[in-house]
Parts: sequence; structure tokens; C-alpha cells
Amino acid sequence: MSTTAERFFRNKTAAAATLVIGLIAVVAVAGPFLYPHDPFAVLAKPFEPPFGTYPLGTDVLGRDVAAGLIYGARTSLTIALVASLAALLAGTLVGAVSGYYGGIVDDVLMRCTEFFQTIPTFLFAVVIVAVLTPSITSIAIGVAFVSWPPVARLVRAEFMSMREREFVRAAECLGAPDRQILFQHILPNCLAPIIVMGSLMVAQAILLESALSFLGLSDGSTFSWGYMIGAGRTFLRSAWWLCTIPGLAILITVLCINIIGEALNDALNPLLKD
Amino acid sequence: MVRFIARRLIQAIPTILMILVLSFFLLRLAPGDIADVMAGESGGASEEYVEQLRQQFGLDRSLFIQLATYIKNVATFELGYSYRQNMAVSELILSRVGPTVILMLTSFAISIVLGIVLGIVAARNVNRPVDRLISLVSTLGYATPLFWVGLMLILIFSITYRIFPTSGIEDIAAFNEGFARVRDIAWHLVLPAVSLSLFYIAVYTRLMRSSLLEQSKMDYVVTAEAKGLPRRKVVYGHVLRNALLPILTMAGVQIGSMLGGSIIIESVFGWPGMGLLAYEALFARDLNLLTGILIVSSVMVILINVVVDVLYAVVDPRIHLK
Amino acid sequence: MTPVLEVTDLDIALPGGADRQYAVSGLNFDVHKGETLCVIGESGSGKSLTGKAILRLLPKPHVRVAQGRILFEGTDLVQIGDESIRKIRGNAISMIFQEPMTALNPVLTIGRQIEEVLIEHTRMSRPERWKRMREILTETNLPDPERILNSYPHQLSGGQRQRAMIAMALILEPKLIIADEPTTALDVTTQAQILRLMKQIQERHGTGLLFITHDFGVVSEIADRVIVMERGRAVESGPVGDVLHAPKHPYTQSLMAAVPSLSPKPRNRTSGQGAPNAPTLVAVENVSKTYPLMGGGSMKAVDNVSLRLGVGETLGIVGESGSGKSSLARLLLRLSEPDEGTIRLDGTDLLALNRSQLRSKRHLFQVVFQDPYGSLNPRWTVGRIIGEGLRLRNEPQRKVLEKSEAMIDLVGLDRKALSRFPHEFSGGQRQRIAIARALIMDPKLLIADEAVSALDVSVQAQILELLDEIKKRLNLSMIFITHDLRVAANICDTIMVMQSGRVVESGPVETIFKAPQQEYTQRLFAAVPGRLTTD
Repeated sequence: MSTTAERFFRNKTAAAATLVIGLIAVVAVAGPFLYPHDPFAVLAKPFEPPFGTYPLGTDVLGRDVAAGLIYGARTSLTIALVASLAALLAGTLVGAVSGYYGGIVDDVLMRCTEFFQTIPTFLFAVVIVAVLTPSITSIAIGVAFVSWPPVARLVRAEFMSMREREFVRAAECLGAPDRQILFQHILPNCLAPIIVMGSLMVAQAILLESALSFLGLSDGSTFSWGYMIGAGRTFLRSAWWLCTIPGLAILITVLCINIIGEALNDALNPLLKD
Repeated sequence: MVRFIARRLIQAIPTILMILVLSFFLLRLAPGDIADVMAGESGGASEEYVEQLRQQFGLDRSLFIQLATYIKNVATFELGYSYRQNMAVSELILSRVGPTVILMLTSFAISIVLGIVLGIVAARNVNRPVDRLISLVSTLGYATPLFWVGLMLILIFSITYRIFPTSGIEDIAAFNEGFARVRDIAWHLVLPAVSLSLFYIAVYTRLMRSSLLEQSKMDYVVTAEAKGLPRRKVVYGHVLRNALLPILTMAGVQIGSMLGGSIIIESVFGWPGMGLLAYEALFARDLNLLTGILIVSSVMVILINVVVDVLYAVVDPRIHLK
Repeated sequence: MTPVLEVTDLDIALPGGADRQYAVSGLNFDVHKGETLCVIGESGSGKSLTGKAILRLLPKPHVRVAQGRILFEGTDLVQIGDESIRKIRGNAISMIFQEPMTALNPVLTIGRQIEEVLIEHTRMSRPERWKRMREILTETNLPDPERILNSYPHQLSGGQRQRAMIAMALILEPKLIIADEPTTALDVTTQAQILRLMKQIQERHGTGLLFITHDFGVVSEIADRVIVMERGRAVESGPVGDVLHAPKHPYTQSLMAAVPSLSPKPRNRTSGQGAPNAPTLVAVENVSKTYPLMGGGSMKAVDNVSLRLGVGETLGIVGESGSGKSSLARLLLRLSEPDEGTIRLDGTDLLALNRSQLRSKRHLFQVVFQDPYGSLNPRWTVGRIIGEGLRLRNEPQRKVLEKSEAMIDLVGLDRKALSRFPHEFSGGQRQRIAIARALIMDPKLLIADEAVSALDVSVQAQILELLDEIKKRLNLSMIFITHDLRVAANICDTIMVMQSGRVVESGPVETIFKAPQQEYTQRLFAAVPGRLTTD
């Protein structure tokens, strides 16, 4: 039987997507050193079209679009990663406790989860960020706050079916404490779907963050892709690149992460594939 | 049946109450007290009105009484007054529900019908070129930001080719009436509805495909084949009915997300529904109006979910209508 | 007389990467009108695929008929077109499957599912169809046909569902019925009824019956002729009497020898282990447990049960599904709390202990579960699995290792097993690992919850032998929960029969097996297939 990594990289699309995401990550981390332009600096006359002096043109104030894109990658990826991680941890904890203990604990936690799922996700995030006043932190909080319920439900379902498995019962009969059963026996066996969900969540978080900043809910002191599209939309008629290019950046990033997530799913569950 | 619906509606009451509690605390999180927030930060409100609100909401009393008063007010649809818009919040929201419902229903219908059809086509041609193509398109749809799709459609179909209007729900200057008006609205609806549907078409297509493939491995499929049914009857008479159940569940889950998506789409296309209202509220920092919209749309989602539950019980005999 | 079905030189190819190239190879057999041919074999023998191959229902595209002829009334079913085979399915040849719950579509009524057969193959009008359906349901002894036709599968009992499946298979009076383990998922009393029904119907209609099973008891009840399959090949065939009473092939002989006898083993109960005056180890008094049911109401799963187990004794708890035997096992293991009653182990009141006290006593009573695939953590090595209990008791690593090796020896596995993962072992080997995990704790009581039910009969015999030997060597007390009376007879000293949560009858195994007092126990014994022929 081949290893997970072997199975993953045998999928050529997934390997390519990983490469692209790797590049985007490098740009986000090292971009400011590789391309030393300040995105806020007014460099040239407004509305320079792309592929001229400035590779991706300039915006309404004559700022470099390419520099904005690089700084934007940083903001979008940071928020998405932090928010997804927080949501993943919270969701896993709620789901694990709910699924393993069942009974009243489960009833209460699931009522809560369902409740948060009924509130229209995006609108909820908008209100949270608006109330907390927009900043990187409040956007991450807003995104995390609306992202955890699906994780909790998934993890709960996994834990519920696992706790009835005989190896878990056997561990209980050996006198294993709950902590050991939850984290040594059950969790490693549900890790595959959680990892896959986590990767898809990062993608959704990027979309959510971009939509929030598109509506103007963004930190004034940083660039982000959604903000660039929102700022460029008034000039859709005259300067198409201001909206199109950051949008493509979002599309490519999210697409690659989704592809990686699906390939992970196939690689982690070799038996499920025909 | 009636009792089932009644019971589900009664079960929805605590959820609605929790939404009110949540929005109360959200409003408290904002700078200033509720009266300030409700009067709007625009400064349009008179000092007397703010004072009157303080009285009305019992802000001089304990937190619990404040909460109780807030719930009582909201439950009687007393959501305050929007000075920016010069209208009671409740009236304002109600006047915008119609366009949102039109947009949502259209997009919902488009996405679910196309999603099911594409999912069936993909599953019946699994691993063939058609399936690969559908997979590719749905993966793209899954990764595209809604608002960007909207902008790109405007760029292509309104600005470059001038086929569809860029924004609004109807041509006001034309003073259309009757059927002409319906046609005009439909014409304005095309781009927003398509933009909003794209993501959900992808969601339903993928779900339908995997659900069909999963169901076709079930034992009852072998039984149906052993009875001598032709392939077509096995798929459409047996597999499809079971495969549609997760679609129904998903529709219930996604309806809230779609309502959220309509905010962006409405603000891109200037479609005068609750979403555009939320966008305007955001700009005016009218948090009270924003919370009001959150409450109303949450209640809408809850009611839609009751409908989904009833449908589910009708389709799946294993769920009892008790 | 020409046979209804004639299979010659059949090879069924498996996809690359399987453990062998052919699931079935060089298989020959025929079925005559009004005759029952049993194909018997253990799991992996290729018996089920043979049945599916006849109607071309093999899982596409991986498994296929590579060679051979399947002649049905002179037509080769391997060669004919898709449309022709479709016209035969459900019409001239029909099939009955093992698990009627999953074999029926959950969202369609029974009536609709049976009616489809008539719509597809006949030109009957709707009233004619429903008349015929009511007739056939009556023939399969289903009460109130009208209600059954309008029911969904989940609203019927297991036996009713299988009768409905039989009705569906029979409705067009096929020449041949292929039944793939049709009674394996059923309780023993229901199984007996279904077997009787199939026999009657077959005689009345003169249908040929190809009956696939793993159970020699069932074979002796229903077969006219038998084929024994081992790893894709027929090793022996002949009239049922010859094969069962004078098996020629060593494989058949070993299979027959592995079937536990229904008469209890002679036991020396006056001295040593299992003596009637042995000191009490387990005393359970008046325990009850009620579970709430989905959609309101509740079910008394365990109803006022008391039992006593002496040191070195083995108590068998037998019953059908829903008898409460597994719920009782969960209570004894303290995996769930009884509503009332007391459970004492070696003088300690188990119910009075708090969580941490209970954990420190858990090593005294250990368990072996049913499912050899589900009872070992797939991500742990066998060494870690076996040593877990000792490590939880903070034993030093060296001692854990020493004892693990001793246990692996005891259960008859190689020491190399310790560094391997569960998926590298067969079902029987996994059950040995589970036994080692339990025994390393030096328990006083071992609870075996259907511990041999999921195993093939030859493996089952080995595990039973192992348990018997260990029990003697360690003077271990055992509670053996099983639905299989033959297994109970093989290993138990005393027997407790349960039905709907209550104890129907209990006593020494010889007494209960020779002269059951209660009507239910008598029925249970009468239903055991092959009772008369194999003993």
C-alpha cells in the first residue's frame, strides 16, 4: 500500500495546485522584499493600463496594482488561516464533546450549533465586523464565528459513530480515561475528514474575507484583494483591470486550495475511490 | 400533517428568541448604549427621541430588564426608527422583502434544477469527458467570488455588449405597467440571478453526483436489476429518489447562505432588496437597521427550514409525520 | 431429463491486485426442476459471485465471467444480449438476497416494489396486478396483505421483509430461484419458518432452487444435493445424505468437524473448575434497564435479571436479537448504568463505585467483542493495543513488553505480530489479539459478547478451543453471550435463556439442552437447523 503523500502527488492536478499555492505563500511572505514597492505610494499617473511600466497597471490614485496584490495576498491568507484554525479548533472541540458524551450535553451543544447555522452566515459576519469596527482582528473573529458550526457537525457525526466502535468500548473496559479515548483512540481515526474540511474552510474563509472587504468592511491600514475590487468597481467601465486582476487572484487561490482539499480526501481514503 | 407543522413552528420559537438575545448583545457590543445605536450615529435624532428610547428600553434598569424590554419591543415589531432613511425600521425592511424574495426564489430554482440535471449527467457518464467537463466547471464555480462574477458579467454583458441593464430592478423612466413591467423586471433579474446561482449550481451538482454514485452501490439497486428493470427505470425509479434526500437537506442548509450572498449581489447590481438595504445601513453605520435585517432574515431562514422539514417528511417515509 | 440450469467450466475473473486471479474457476453444476442445490462454502469461497454471475449481476466492470457456459433452458446466459437477459431477470429466474432491509428500497412501498416486476414483464391491468400480489403475499403466509403492500420496508419485521422478498421472487413463477444466504440475517426461529416456507413453495411450484449458504445446518434442512466450495473450486458434490454423513474430501471433513455439536460436551463438574459449590464471583440481582425509543415510548431492554457465576464457571447467555442479552452485557461491563439492581464482582459492589474507583477495578473484568474488524484501533500497532491496559496502570515498559510477548504466545501468534498493524491479520488472528488484550490484565471475569459469531466455522472452532484451554489454565470465569445454541453447548457450564429482556429459563447446560422446561426454550431448540441430521 502506498503512502498518503505518494497517492497525493500521483494526482498531477493536485501537485500543480500545491506548487501554485506554494508560490502564492512565498509571495505573501517574501513579496515585500522581492518587489519593494509600497502599495499606498502614489507612483505614477492614474489608470496606467497593465503590461506597461507597471506590470499590472495603476489605480485611480496612481498606486501600483501589483504591489497591492502582493500585500493583499498577505492579508487575505493571514486572516483565512487564522480564522480557519480557530474555527477548526472550536468546531472540533464542540463536536468531539457533543458526539462522545451524547445526552443532554449533546442536546445543548447541537441546539447551539444549529442555531448559529440558521443565521445567514454572511450577514452575521457583516454585523459582527460592523459592530466591532473593521480591523484584521475583527474580520478574523467574524469569519471564525460563522465557520465553526459545519466543523462541529462533521466531528460530532464522526465521534458518534466512533464511540460505538468496539475498539473504543474495549479501551473504556481497560480503564482508559476519557482524555485518552477522545484524543488517542477516536481523534486519530477521524483526522482525515477534519483535515479535508480544514483545507476547504481556508478556501471559504478567503471568499468570505474578500466579500467583507469588498463591502468596505476592511482594515484601512492594509491592502486586501476584496478591498481592491470594491475600490475599483466604480471604474469598471474605464479601467477593467482594477476589478479583474484581484478577482483572478482570489479565484486561482481558492481553486487551488479546493483542488488540494479534494486530492487530500482521495489520498487519505484510498479505499473509497473506485 | 397540520400538527407536524404546528409542532415545528412551536419548536422554532426558542430559536427566534435566541436570535433576539444575540442581537441584543451584538448591539451592546457597539460603542454607546442601545439608544444611541438605535437612534443612529448619523446625529439626525433629536435629544428627546434618544431620551424617550432610553426610557422605552429601560436603560436605567438592570441588564435582564433591558433584555426583556428589547425582546418585547422587537417581538411586537417595534424595531426603532431610521433617521437616515426617515422611516420606521420595520416598515423599511418590509418594503424591501419583495425584491429579495424574487431574487432568491429565481436563483434557488435555477441552481437546484441545473444542479440536479448536471449532477445526473455527470454521474451517468462517470469518468468520461462530459463528467470531467462538468467537474471542471463546478470546481470553478465553487471557487469564484460571487461579487466578482457579478462585476465580470456587468463588464461583459452590460458594458461591452449592452445586452442587459447594469443595475436596478426596473426601468423607472419607462413607466411600464402589467406584463411589460414583469418583462422589464425579468430582464433586470437575469444578471443578478445568474451571478447568485453560479456558486450554488456548483454545490448541488457536486452533491448530486456523489449522492447518485453512492446510492448506486446500494443493495437495493442489485435487487432492482435482478427484477429485470431496464437501467433507466433503475436510475430514475430507485436511485434518484434516494439520492435527492441529501439535496433537500443541503437546500435547507444553503438557504441562509444564499440570503447572505444576496447582500453582495444586490449591492453589486443595485437590486433594491434587503441586501441593498443592509449595504446602505453599513455605509450609514446604522447598526440598528443592520441588526433588524439580521433578525428578519434569520426568521425567514427558520420558516423556510420548517418547509424543508415538511418536504423531507413527505419524501422520506422513514421520518414520521407525528 | 434436461436440467433447468447447467453451468460448465465457469471461471470468474477478479480485478488485478486481488488475492487471487479467479474468484471461481472450473466450476460445473446443474439444477433440475423441483430440486434444491446448495452451494456451501466459507467467506471468500466464491459462492456468492457464482449466484450473481448467473443473472449477470457481477459488480461491473472489475469482476467478470472469463470463461464457461451458463445454460438456462438451452440458452447460454453468458452470450445473450443485455435486453434478453433483462427479460429473464425476475421473470424466469429470480433472486433472493441476504439482507432484506438493504435489498429493498427504503423510500418505496412493498407493493410498488413488487408491482414493478409485473409491470415490467406482463401486460396485466392494475386490478389484476394487485389481485395477484395479494394472492402471493397470502401464499407466503404474510398476515393482512393489504397492509403489507402499503407498508415501507422499515415498518416490517426482518421475517416479514424476507417473506415479501420471496413473494417478489415468486410472483411470476420462475423456473429457477437463486437464494443468496436468505436466512443468515434472521433469528433462528424466523429462519426455521422461512426455510419451511421456501421448501413448501418450491415443492408446490416445482421450481429449481439454487441455495447459497455457509451453514451446514441449513443445508441439512433444505438441500437435495450439495456442492462444497473452497477458494473458488468445487471440492466435493453429491446428494445431501452422502456429503453430510460420509464426506470424502478432507476440506469437507474438516468443515463438518468444526460445526459445534448441539449436545453439550461431557463435563467433570464434581471437582476443580466449574464445580457447583465454587465460591461466587459475580452476583447480579434484579437489574433492569429501560431505553427511551425514538419518537416516544420506551423499551425495557433488561427486565429484572438476576444471575450468579461461580469461580471458574462459564455461563452462557443465549437469546435472539432483541432478547436483551447484549444490553445485559453492557450493564455487566459497566458501559451503561442500570436503572435498578445490584452487580457484585468478587464482593465489590460495582454500582457504588465512582468513575475513578471504577477505572481502577476495570482490569478485573475484561471483554472480547464480536467484530474482529472493529475491535482493534486500526492506527495502533498490535503491541500498543495489547500493552495499553498495563500502561494505563503505569507498569514499567519492560514489564509491559514481557507480558505482551507472553500473551502473544498464549493466544498462539508470532511475536513479530507486536510490531504490525491490525489490517495485516485475518479475522481469527484479530480475535486472538483481542483475547490477548483482555487477558494481559489478569481478569477474574472474561465477558465474550458474540465473540465467535462473525467468524467462519473452521476459525470459530479454533477460537472456541483456545478459550476453553485458557479458561482451564487460568481458572477463569466466563460469561459467554451468543445467539448460537451450538456454540453455547460447546463451551458453557450453565445456560441462561433470555427473551424480551427477561430470563426465561436457566440451569446447568445438560439439563437445559436435554429437557427444556419453558415453551420458548423448546421452540428455540426446535428451530436450530440440522438438529437431527448432524447429531
